[in-house]
Amino acid sequence: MTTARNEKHNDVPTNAMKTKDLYKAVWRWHFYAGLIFMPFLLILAITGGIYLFKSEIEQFMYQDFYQVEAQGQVISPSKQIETVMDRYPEANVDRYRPGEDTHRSAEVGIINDSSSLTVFVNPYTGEIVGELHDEERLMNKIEEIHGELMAGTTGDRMVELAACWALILIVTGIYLWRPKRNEKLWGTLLPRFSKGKNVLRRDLHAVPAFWISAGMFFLIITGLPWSGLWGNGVQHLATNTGVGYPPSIWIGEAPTSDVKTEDVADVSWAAENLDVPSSAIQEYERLSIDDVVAIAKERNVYPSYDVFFPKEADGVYTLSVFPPKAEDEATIHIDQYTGAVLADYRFQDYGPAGKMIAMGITLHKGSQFGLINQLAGLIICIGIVGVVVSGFYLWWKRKPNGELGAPKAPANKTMKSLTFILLLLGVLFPLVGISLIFVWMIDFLLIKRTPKLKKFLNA
Amino acid sequence: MKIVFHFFSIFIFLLLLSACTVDTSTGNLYKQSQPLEVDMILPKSTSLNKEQVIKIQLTQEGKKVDDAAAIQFEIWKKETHEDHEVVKAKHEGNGIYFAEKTFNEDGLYYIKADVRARDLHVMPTKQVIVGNPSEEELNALQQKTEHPHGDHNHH
Repeated sequence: MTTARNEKHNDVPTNAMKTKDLYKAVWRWHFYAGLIFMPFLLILAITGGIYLFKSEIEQFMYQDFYQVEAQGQVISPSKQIETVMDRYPEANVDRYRPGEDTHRSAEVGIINDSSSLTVFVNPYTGEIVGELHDEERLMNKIEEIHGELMAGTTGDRMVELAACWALILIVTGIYLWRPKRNEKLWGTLLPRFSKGKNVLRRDLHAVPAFWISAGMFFLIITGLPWSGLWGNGVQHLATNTGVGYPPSIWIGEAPTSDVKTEDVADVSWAAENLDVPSSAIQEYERLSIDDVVAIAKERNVYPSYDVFFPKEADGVYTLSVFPPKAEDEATIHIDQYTGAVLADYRFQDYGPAGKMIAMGITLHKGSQFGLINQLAGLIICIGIVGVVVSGFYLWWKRKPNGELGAPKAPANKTMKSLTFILLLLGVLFPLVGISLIFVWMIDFLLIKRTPKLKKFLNA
Repeated sequence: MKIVFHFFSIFIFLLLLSACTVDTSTGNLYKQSQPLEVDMILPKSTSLNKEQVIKIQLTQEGKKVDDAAAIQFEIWKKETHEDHEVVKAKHEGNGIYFAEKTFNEDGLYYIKADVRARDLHVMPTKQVIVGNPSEEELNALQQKTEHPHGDHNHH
């Protein structure tokens, strides 16, 4: 590959001119990317800022469902589930979550009329204390906006694209911000207050942006692993090479229960309540939830775990917990007929990349280090909002009437070094690559051929 | 430049293709469990007032396990789990453990083998019909509706 350095023999554009052109070109990219992705970054920062406090918010919102009075003996999980089944005879249980302490209700997740419902049960009395439709939970909605703009796969790709372009904004921004000649401190680390309004406006965008850029970069990088395309690709790459998450935690299949076909009737495993499922003379019963909970105790699983019920005759019970600290995570698959533990994955069993991603996730969610972690996340989110707003204001104040006010396209169009960097980013992040191809096509087919557009966009 | 662009397009295409499967052998790259395999062997038909032999065959990784720490059978009639009977199993060799039990009542029974070996714990349960159970007990054998498929997502 050639880089800008190989062009030294050309005496036409001098180095100074080239730097100027490069600056202009970078500024253009920063300008357009900023304008286009501004709304997405605002949405991500605001929803993210709220989501950081998910556990506190839910603790407050659902305190009547969460809180129970500790009183004597707990009744068995299977009895608790029976209570729920009495109320919803048609439903299927797919999840059980014992309370993590003596004051916490148990949760029974059921699928009723094809909607997911969480029923809260008092484990001492077996009474139902409340229920919530999972899709109606405020925090689920916030998460859905944050992760996919409430628009499914398309939304997921948009968020991923915005996150990747935010990285480009950081890189180009730092280039534009970098200290020039004799400004060491003012205009880089501190805004210049005495150089007139225009300079101050620029500094009020660029200086704080520099200060939060590292945090912003961190949030993007730790959030990307659960994006649908890039994240999925990285997870597959890591898992398949043995450095990521073990299979079944994020991607890949769980092991299967050993079905002794002669002993298990076709439909029997699907029976929800714990009585007799089929007419075979002798057959294996599905393990009772009480045994599954006992196994979780024996194996010291972090107490806020969920049990997911098998969905197939050869399916497994899955114990799964993603607590505040990544080190406490566990994913355990249990044979639904024998209770044998087929896989027990803890944090220490993740590959190095898996450990990094897991830790990145808890840091991103603000749970790893408690309040300090949440506040750090919140400051970055507020900072992102501020930088977006100040960037917008900077553009608004500078732009001439009736024009977009884009920086002039540089005379020298073949910016090898810039092109190279963009290509590199396009290779690292396929969505960026696709969007770049899209931009180039629009530029080539439309803008170059339409004088009006050319003028408006300063191309 | 053109060639770079070509390579770039091909690369993206390949990336999009490659990122959707997990190899089945991937599990071997991570920590593996060695689960106990247990098979409960009951007489073909279970008659009243006759000594019946209940057996289990215990293996790990396909090899017979003859050093189990504790094996017992819990036996109860449907609906009376609270007063279940516990029978300790004896070791026969070849990974086989057994116990004798005489049933004195018709009905639907559950037999649960509680097996502890090599720091692992398994507990399969089988359901057995003894003699001629009542109409009511047979009605309990009715099939339930099929499960809808759901997906769970952990974040």
